[in-house]
Amino acid sequence: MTRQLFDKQLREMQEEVLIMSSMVEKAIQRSVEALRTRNVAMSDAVIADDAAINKKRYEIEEKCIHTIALQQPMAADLRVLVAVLFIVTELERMADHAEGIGRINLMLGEEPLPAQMAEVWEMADQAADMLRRAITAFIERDADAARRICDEDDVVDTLYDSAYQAFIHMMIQSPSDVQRITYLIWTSHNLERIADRVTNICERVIFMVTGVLEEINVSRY
Amino acid sequence: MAFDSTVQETPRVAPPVLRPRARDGAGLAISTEVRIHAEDVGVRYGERPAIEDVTLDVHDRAVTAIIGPSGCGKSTLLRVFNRMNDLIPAARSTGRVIMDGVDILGRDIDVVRLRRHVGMVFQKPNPFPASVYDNVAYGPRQHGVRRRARLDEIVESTLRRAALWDEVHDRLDKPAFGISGGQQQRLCIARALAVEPSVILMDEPCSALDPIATLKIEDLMRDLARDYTIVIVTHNMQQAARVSDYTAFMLAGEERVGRLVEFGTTDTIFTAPADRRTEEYITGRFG
Repeated sequence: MTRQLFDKQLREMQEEVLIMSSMVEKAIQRSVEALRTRNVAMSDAVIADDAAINKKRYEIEEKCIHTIALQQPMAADLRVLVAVLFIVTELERMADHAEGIGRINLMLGEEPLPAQMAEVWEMADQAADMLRRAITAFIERDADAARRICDEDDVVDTLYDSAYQAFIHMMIQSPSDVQRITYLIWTSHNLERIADRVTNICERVIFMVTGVLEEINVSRY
Repeated sequence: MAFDSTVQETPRVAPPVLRPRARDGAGLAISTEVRIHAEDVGVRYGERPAIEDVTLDVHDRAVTAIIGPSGCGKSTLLRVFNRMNDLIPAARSTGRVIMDGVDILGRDIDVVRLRRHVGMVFQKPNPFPASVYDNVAYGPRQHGVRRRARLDEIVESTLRRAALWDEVHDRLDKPAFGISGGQQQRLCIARALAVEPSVILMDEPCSALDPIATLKIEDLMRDLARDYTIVIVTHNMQQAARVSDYTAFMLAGEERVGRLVEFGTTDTIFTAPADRRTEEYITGRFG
């Protein structure tokens, strides 16, 4: 087998993506956990840790560009590197959404959360789970799994619709809570965007495996 | 047809149906009109088969690259298209190669006239030991052009076509060996163009050139592809990816007989080839 150094670089690149996705998954989970438990210190940590995720994204991107320039990959190898470039961008933006949820928790201050938050917590669990499986599909080159995960975005969209309607209803019932509820709509929107970005990752996984660029899931939002 | 001396006796095949123009990855239209249709082509050197079962279409006004490891029969296939294999005593070609509705492997084909229509450029620049001018004028003179003014016209227009005029117009009477290797190769391309071929075969045309001269030849190939059908054999995969519209990948198995593994648009071959062996070769994991 030839190109052992290049194969090693490709493997390392994929491991880096795995590490970065773990950082992002943790950021999502902690941002929501901080909101749920009204833990300001945890939100501060999520916001502070975003810098490390941004740094990781640029490190991987730089490695990718160097590998493309120096190794001149073709076919499946090229598709892996192009997929990595897109995936790290999506991951970095997902971490920004988690950071956004962290800031919302700080903005809410001492304000209590309404009782009806079940959809929001479920969206967070679903989005984090979709992300974990999307990265597994990337590592395992599993286009079928990636397609299945895309379909699950509809579940998150439905939860978002439901949460949105509930929050609007709360605003009508209690106009003095408009600002507080608006922050929660932003939270659910951040989670909806995270799930949507997971589907973008899945599209890149499908491209990486099949060589065909296809838009699987068009977001409703 | 110009190179067919016995049109009446040569079996005719209906010209291929024109298909819509394809698009490459950059969204540029590439020709899908077939110029040469090779069918079940094989070449034997004595008892030993060199290539077998090669069926492919060479598209008009496009660059087709033939790639593959050493000994896979790339050059042998290329030489089928202007019957250069005829010069090897024991070589025998089988199958059909249809060009302009005529099988050019037919016994009645006038190979000298065929080669006027299907020019060839070789690995190492091989100008004649004569002046720059006489190298270009050689072919037209052989075909009966005698008037100096007409020859001047042909030499200038051909050298311009080969992107060489600006560099040599003030030393047309100087020996061709005095110009650089890259210029010599463009001179050889000009020499091939001077007899107005419609197809140009290039066998590793840049392997003896430095990177700058190579890029000039590649630019020239892209430019010429607007008017000519070009088939290039190259070991340089980046070159095939850069210059060609279509790519054919050939491979010889354990019995050392070359076969066509995959043929497709260059865009597809270099991003998502269908055959595992093509993938292994172009990603450098062959062997």
